[in-house]
Amino acid sequence: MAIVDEELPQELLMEILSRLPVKSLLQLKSVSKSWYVLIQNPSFISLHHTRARLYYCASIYVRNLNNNNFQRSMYLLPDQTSIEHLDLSFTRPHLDKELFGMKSCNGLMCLSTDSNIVICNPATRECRLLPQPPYHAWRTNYLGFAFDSKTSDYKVVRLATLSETTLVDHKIQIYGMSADSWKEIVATVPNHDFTVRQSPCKSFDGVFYWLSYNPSTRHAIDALNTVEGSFERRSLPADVSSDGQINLYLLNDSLALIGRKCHNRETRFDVWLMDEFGVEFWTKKYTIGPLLGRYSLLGFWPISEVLLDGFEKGKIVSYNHSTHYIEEYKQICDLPEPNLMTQVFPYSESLLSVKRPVDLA
Amino acid sequence: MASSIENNNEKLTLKSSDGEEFLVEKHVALQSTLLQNMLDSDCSSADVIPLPKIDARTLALVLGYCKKHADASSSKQGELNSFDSEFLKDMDMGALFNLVLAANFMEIKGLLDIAAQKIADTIKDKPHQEVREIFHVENDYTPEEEAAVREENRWAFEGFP
Repeated sequence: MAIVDEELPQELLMEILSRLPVKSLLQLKSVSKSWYVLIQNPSFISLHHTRARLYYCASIYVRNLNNNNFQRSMYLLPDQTSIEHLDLSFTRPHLDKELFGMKSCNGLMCLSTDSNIVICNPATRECRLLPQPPYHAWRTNYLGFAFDSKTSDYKVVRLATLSETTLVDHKIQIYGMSADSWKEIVATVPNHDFTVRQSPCKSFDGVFYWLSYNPSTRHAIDALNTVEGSFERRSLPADVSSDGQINLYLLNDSLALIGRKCHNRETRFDVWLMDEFGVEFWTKKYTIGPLLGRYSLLGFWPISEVLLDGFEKGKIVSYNHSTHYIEEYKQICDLPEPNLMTQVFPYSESLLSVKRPVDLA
Repeated sequence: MASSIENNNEKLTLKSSDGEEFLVEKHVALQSTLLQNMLDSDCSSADVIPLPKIDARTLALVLGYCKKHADASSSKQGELNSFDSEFLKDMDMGALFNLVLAANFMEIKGLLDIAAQKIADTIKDKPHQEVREIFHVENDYTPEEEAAVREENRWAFEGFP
């Protein structure tokens, strides 16, 4: 006998189903045709993503003992005591070499080797191999992946040096997921001899930001306006001084620049927020810490929380800078070789499909 | 401003679909956005407020939830969380669905959240036939179509009943 006398209103069915993990929803698609349609409905997908559990996702380089190469692995940390390996083996047909880049946005990830770029959804195990960019790169300086609110599209930005001999041959290309094609952006990049640090990217109205480094000009913030095709290099706040660790993070939809200082076995982090419309580009400096011991910053969380790599311990530690509460996470790897923890970023599952429309038909 | 909300100790009367009346303190009723809007829009507390879609058994549960949440101070979040899980613990599916419908109608977001989550957790590992019975959904797939849909995400069915 049915529990409800008639079918639930769609709105309440969405209330209930939006609280299930992606794997369960993929199973439930075979309950009925109307459920199949609902689970693929864009407003359901978006409701589900806002409710999906927020994980810390840790990306780590681990030395492969068979061939001595470093390989990247990803782990989800639901709480202090558990670790789930994030299985990305479904991308292997396209990414059989060492991963060069990894960017995450709204539950999707953009992964690349020196020859291929894919956008994948680890929750649905869907993967899209991007068409080859129009220029072969001698070196890819930057690969960004972000949701562009201006065009409601996911975009990949690639900054490539074309040859070793002429560093001036620099090309910027943008891939749009809906058009499924690359487009060249004509913009002049002022100084080509630079590298881009691991940094998150967010497209604010079509502008991508990243932190770059050049031996003579040191660190700078690069802003690429994909709408106007302009490129701008901005200097860091005058009073930023650090022991070398400077990072760029996303905090509540703003860019935050964080410089670390270690002194007398104490670590503190100075935080600047970017104000795009202010007279001063950087505002609101505050300091996290001091914390006893040496720490590296792995991630920066909206809820007064930073994730730290406990120096010499190889452990992830979360620190709440309002309550000063420190929590240690379970050690992810127990390998004799040192592991290189590259970053920890927020990850929530999504049902969003990355398949091409033609593949869905 | 309605005179009814000037006095904090005032009570109002709610009437269930099966005709039972419940006398509720106003601060408890304010947990419901629907009732709050009614009180704001000059609805006299002397009136009996009919809730035609909610039976007495469900309304009693809803009001129990509202009373606990209205009386607890915000600092006692831990206590409220354990009340919430205890509140739903042995509830059957029928009662949970009635709670979801009532919380949605009365606009009690916290209750809607926990009741909908509880249903989601319960159906998570149930065979599809049971899910269809619970939700009163007809299987309109042919066996071939259903097999094809399962095939789309075969990996998700490993170890699934």
